[in-house]
Amino acid sequence: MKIKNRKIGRLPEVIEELILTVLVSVFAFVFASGIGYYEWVPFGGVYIGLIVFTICMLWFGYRRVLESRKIYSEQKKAEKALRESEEKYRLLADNSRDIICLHSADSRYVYLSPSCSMVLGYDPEELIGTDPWELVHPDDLKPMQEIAGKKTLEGKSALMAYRIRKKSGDYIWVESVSQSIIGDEGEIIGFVTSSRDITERIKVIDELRSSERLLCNVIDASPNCIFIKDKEGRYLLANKAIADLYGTVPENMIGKTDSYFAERGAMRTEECGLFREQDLQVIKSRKPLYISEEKITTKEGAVRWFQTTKIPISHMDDPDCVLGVAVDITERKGIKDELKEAYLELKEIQDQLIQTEKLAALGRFASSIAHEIKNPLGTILGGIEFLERKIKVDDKDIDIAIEKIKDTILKADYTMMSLLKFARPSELKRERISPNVLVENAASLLRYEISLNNIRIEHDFGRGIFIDVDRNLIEQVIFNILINAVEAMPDGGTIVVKTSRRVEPKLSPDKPFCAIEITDTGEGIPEENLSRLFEPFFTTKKEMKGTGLGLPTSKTITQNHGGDIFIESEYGKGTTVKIILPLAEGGR
Amino acid sequence: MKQILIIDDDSEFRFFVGKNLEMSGKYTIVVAKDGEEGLRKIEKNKPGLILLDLKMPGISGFEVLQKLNENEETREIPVIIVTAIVGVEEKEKLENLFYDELLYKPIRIKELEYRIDRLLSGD
Repeated sequence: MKIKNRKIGRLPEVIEELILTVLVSVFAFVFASGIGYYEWVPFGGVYIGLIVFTICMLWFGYRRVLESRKIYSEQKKAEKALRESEEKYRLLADNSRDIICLHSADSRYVYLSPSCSMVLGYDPEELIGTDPWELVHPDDLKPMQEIAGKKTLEGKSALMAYRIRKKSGDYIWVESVSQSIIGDEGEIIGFVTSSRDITERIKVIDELRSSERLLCNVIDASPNCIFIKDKEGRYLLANKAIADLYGTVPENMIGKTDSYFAERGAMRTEECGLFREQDLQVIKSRKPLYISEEKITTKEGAVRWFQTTKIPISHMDDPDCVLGVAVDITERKGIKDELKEAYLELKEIQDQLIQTEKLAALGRFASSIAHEIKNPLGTILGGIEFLERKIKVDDKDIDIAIEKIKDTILKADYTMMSLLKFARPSELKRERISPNVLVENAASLLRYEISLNNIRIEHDFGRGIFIDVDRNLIEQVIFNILINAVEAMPDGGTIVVKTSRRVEPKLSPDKPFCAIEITDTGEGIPEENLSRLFEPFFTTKKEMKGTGLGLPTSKTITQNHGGDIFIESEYGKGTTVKIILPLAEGGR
Repeated sequence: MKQILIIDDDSEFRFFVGKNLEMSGKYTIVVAKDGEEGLRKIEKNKPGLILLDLKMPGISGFEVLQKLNENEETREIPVIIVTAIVGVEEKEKLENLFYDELLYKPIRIKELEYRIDRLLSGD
């Protein structure tokens, strides 16, 4: 603060007025002498000069008195205002909770307001003359002195927050504003400082910071992706989990959009587009959006599955922000898929069990039916043969009729036995054997039919293949398929039997099986019949040749061995039947 | 002439098979309608061969076979089982019993005669 003292009179003005008075008097003397006024009045010029001199002196004296009175009055007024102002400031200083201090040019305390005793515990008198820096916390000393020095040089006020020692020895936080006082010559003659106790404020700030840090830690520690985006899709908050997913750190995500990361290959463009659509939907509807399952492909190309909830929220001045929480459900989904797979497997087993139980019931039913049918068949056959022997008639027609009746009885019996075989598969007597041997055995049983129908059988046998099967049953299966092939070629043809070791995708994606493929060049199977081939009693054979149980029985037998039968056919071209069986353990 | 005992609960079967065999003139026929009557007639007549049904009311064919097996005097009588079907359990029961042939109904009389003759001739 620069204070100037006002001076009450000036010496040069008096001299100026005196010189002016003398000059005016001399002029009056000369003028009076000149016009001859002295002729009328003795020493007239002198008189006139003296009179003018006296008038001027009186005039100037009168003005000076007036001016002095004015100056005196103004001075009184100023003194009063100053006194009042000082009283106000003193009142303020004395009653303020802030400590108002005056420092000398070397910073020592010159004045401290009484609040000093309340804030620091010192009486103002105790500190006058001491160096304030001695009370400042050592850690705050250096930065504070730097700020104070810089601001002083710039002639600006310095605002500082620092710790200061109380009389008790404890430190409190204060905030000080300091301003230098400039003397008449522009030099610093002291400082005035106002300091306020901000310990409580600092404590609150510390608590806020600590709580913010805790919140950040919690958000970062969450294994779920947590983020806030503004309406432009820029990240306002991103936790570690989502940053990890994008191959970066949370700080790097702030202010950036998903497109930014997609452009840099950190995520897929189509996924990024989907996320943006969801965000816009939430902003538009102002309703939470629940996404039960969505995938995110990481920078490394790994697919992770998330369950995401997006909620509309306001942040700062932006009312259109989106808070998102995405829970990684990749493992859970894996388990879910496994469960689904297990469920399907279980269902298949259950279906098989039901099928088995159905077969068992059918078996029991077939047994009792067979008993009730075969007994009367036995009686009828016995009766016919009795009549045949008893009535000797020389009539060929009767002989033929009797033979036909006997054939029909035996055919009915054969059907009954086939039904029993289908419904009551016997226990497997497994042995390790080459499928080629079984094919040859079955084919040898058909030698007669083969030669009769002008059929050629070609073998394409794989070597070193072994299966662990009930040879009688599998021979029966091969026989059934071969006889079908023979009957499909009444005008002759070729049957190719191929044995090989191959993967059958319908049974297992990678496990090799033994395949016995029987291909004929017969009439083929019409498409409408293909799906009915394994239905019991479905037959297209004429003249009671087929029971309709050969293929169903063969399929049951093969399935009981852990294999299956598949049929491919083109009407008019021929048929391939694939008998698939598990390879024997230790077999190639 | 060797005597053949037919033990079967089916009277028509007994009748026709009996008549057919009689007509060949090689055997005399005795019939029994169940196991109980069969055992009585075995004891009384000591037949040369037995045609035995398994499933019968009262004493079944299995029990008849069991009794025949247990008795030294009857153990050597040839037995042909003539039945409609033999289930898994019945097969297991038969595994512990002695018999000569197992034939299924319906059976041609010629085949039956062939088997009977073979057994009676001691082949």
